[in-house]
Amino acid sequence: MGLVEAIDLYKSYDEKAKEKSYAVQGVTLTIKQGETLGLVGESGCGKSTFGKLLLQLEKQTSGKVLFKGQDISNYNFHKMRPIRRNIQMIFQNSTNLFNPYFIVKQILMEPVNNYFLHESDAEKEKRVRAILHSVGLDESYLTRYGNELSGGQRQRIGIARALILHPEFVVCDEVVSSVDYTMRNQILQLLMDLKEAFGLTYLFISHDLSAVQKVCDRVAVMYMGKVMEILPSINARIKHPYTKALLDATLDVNPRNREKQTMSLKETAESESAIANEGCPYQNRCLLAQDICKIHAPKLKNIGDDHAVACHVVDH
Amino acid sequence: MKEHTDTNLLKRTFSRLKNDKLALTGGIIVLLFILAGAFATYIAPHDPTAVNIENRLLPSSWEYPLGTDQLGRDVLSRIIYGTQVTLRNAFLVLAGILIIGVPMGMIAGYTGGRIDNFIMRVADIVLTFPSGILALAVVGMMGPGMLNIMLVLVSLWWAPFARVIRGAVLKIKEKDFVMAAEAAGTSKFQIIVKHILLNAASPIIVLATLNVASIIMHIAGFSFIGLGTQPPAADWGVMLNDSREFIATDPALMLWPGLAIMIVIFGLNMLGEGLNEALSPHTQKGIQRIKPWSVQRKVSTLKEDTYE
Amino acid sequence: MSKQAVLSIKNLKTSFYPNKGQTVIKAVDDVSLDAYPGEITAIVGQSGSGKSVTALCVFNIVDTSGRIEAGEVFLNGRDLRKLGDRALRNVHGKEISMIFQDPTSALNPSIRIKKQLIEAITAHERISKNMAMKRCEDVLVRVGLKNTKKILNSYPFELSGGMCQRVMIAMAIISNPNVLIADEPTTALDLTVQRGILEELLALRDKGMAVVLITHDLGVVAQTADQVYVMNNGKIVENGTVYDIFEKPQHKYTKELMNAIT
Ligand SMILES: Nc1ncnc2c1ncn2[C@@H]1O[C@H](COP(=O)(O)OP(=O)(O)OP(=O)(O)O)[C@@H](O)[C@H]1O
Ligand SMILES: Nc1ncnc2c1ncn2[C@@H]1O[C@H](COP(=O)(O)OP(=O)(O)O)[C@@H](O)[C@H]1O
Ligand code: SF4
Ligand SMILES: [Mg+2]
Ligand SMILES: [Mg+2]
Repeated sequence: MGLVEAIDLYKSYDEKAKEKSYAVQGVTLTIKQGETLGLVGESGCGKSTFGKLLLQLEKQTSGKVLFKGQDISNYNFHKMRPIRRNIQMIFQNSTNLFNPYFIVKQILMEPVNNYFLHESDAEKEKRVRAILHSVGLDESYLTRYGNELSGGQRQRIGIARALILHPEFVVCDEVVSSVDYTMRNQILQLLMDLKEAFGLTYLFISHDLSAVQKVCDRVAVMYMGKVMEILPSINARIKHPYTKALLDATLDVNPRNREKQTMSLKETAESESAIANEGCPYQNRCLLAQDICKIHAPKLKNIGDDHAVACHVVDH
Repeated sequence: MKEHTDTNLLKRTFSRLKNDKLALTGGIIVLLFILAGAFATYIAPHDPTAVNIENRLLPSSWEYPLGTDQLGRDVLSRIIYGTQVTLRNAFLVLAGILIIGVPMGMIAGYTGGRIDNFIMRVADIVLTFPSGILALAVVGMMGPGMLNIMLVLVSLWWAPFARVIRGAVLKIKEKDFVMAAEAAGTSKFQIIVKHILLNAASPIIVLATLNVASIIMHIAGFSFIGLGTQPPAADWGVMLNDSREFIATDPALMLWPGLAIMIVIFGLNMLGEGLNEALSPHTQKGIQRIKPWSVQRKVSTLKEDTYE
Repeated sequence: MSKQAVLSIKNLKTSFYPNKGQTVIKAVDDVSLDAYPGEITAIVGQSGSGKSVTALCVFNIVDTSGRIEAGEVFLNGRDLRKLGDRALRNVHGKEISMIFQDPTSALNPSIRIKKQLIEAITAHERISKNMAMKRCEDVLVRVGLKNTKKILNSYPFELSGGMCQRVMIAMAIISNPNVLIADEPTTALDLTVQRGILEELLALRDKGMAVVLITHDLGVVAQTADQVYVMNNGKIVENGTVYDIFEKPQHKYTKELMNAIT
């Protein structure tokens, strides 16, 4: 049994529309206690939505979410509140991250006030200061408004807000995307230290493959709301054509290697055209696509060694 | 330069208002009227209802700064007491509108779905009623009187208020920080108050300020045609009505209440504009309003699409 | 003759004067920078080192608590800081454009993408509605968006962050400016899309646009930049060609940064 389980989750944002489009389509995933599961995929493929579904911040269209074996998918707002302390999300960086009328201190105090009711103000403040330091900011930031922070500072306050409760499970949504490399390493280290000390479990959403490589025990690859491949590590015998394309698109950090790396994507007019409704969601961009791909959607199939892949051509 | 980042919202708003000359003027005007109304008993030189036929239609003098009316009553005192009556009634109406309109708008916007549909349909229907006709009908049934007029205004004007608030709430609800507050375990009540209402406060306050102006106009208007405040009690509308007969011989009688109405409304409008600026969390130049292709300081001229 | 910079920032200093009892924040402290046509100039640096503020200063849109205290910003030989509001409006979008770090802030959440894109065109030229729509669709395809019709009819909050960012880039290049400042344009994008966007930026560069690219991703810098400026604590600590910076870093911070690559 995993700490968090998603069972056949579907989420559509346009529920009233005749032709529903799904942000998350039939995802079944288990996140084991103490592991870091990486989630990579195209922007807009539903990674953040999936994270929000796990935390019940969005209601699924169908499917179930289990936390420690209990089905939380039909819990209402009040029933969720005691659980929220243990499951947190670091939101993707944006200027809407914080209430514009709040200063950093109020932002960080909010979760503390909700759950550490018995503590004195001094103790609460100590928590705030401690977490602020661990994300590399000093006390002078306490009186700043959210809109007075740089992108990276904002992201770090977001991290602090989620971690201040010492949750058991954290969804990290693009947590290192807007900080420099030295700070990135520092944040990753912080996450790993916390994991070591408190046995945290993470869902690590990122498109920074080297960060994923560094911290994740397993990686799930998502495309158009579906899981395409689950593998122990990003370059361990990759099978799926989309995962290969992702890896190929990684940029070399050596400026001398600038020759155009070959793209494993079909860049044709076709790939710009409408998204396929039937068959494999990746068919229009896939180099290996066959006739069968246009008719049947491939199912996620276990091919041993903790490795599962959804593809008609390479699933063996 | 320093003011806008004060951590206290009230302080910040005040210090921004202080730097905005127009808003400050508006604020002072409104404040003076409110004070005059509140302390009418202390500052009015005469009894506003004391009839003295011998002194009728006197020009202004030391004793009667604005002269006297057709029954010899002191016009200044009547204006001051009129302020009291008019402003009290206007604020009562506003309070009624807020008490109905704000929760309706909040509930409609926050819960959405069927409740939202229901509230908004009711609001739509209410919005189609012309206030004049309804007022006539009510007065026809229950007799003239300010209370009836006020009830009519409240029962109609909560609707546009609810609409605006619903729109603001819909917009705020989508923002990440509302979801983040839920994730942080904040209670529904606190989310609504601290996150949604606080961010919707500026449109509410601005709208309320501007609304008071039109309430005053309507109250005066209904009194003017004799459906509102009944003599001998006097508000500005009644005074205007009384002075009609003397418009040729004593135009000043009409001038004073008219001027009072104009100045108050002018002040309220200036204050409303200023509050709009001062309450916004970001300053005019704030990044929030910038477009990538053309960095303008003005808010977009585009009309916002309505959600459906 | 040596080449002529289109955008030239000279000794720029900007500070924020926030709350009482707090010290002044020197966000940008004596920054000079040149951007040449047909080149990508990258700015990298510590988080909070003043990169975004530098860009905002070029457009004179820092918050009112911030003050540009010294320095000049030359665009095509004119000092932008001496131009009036009206003149500036003609410059913005037509001669210089910017893509922001956070796409959602620049798009009005309650207006459909279509309207916002068309507004970007009609701000500078008169054009028929059909032509404008066509341009909108073309530019969306150019930044790698599928399903353009649906996107044009969406509200920004219905799009994912990555899609918003692509719409922003489309908006910025729709009037073909000489200089494009891109503040972390690919931060929210996945690798394959990032590829597409970078190739678009390279194509713009090859057409002679000067691109200023603010980013944390050293891979992006290595693959695209010609000149690199490194910032730390509001100062440019080092600048040079991309090869100099990557192969012979001089300053302590640059060395740290290069060591952090794994
Ligand atoms: N509106 C503001 N009010 C007060 N301080 C500000 C404001 N905007 C930025 N700052 C401060 O100015 C400094 C520089 O910010 P800037 O946004 O330029 O950083 P940056 O280099 O872009 O960082 P990042 O890579 O994290 O985006 C930071 O210390 C930041 O906190
Ligand atoms: N609040 C919303 N309303 C409508 N559609 C949304 C909303 N949030 C996300 N979507 C849609 O759901 C899809 C997945 O988005 P998201 O989960 O944010 O992607 P990712 O995080 O992988 O970039 C996108 O197509 C996006 O347009
Ligand atoms: S199923 Fe077919 S189209 Fe889909 S990834 Fe595999 S080969 Fe490509
Ligand atoms: Mg996302
Ligand atoms: Mg920045």
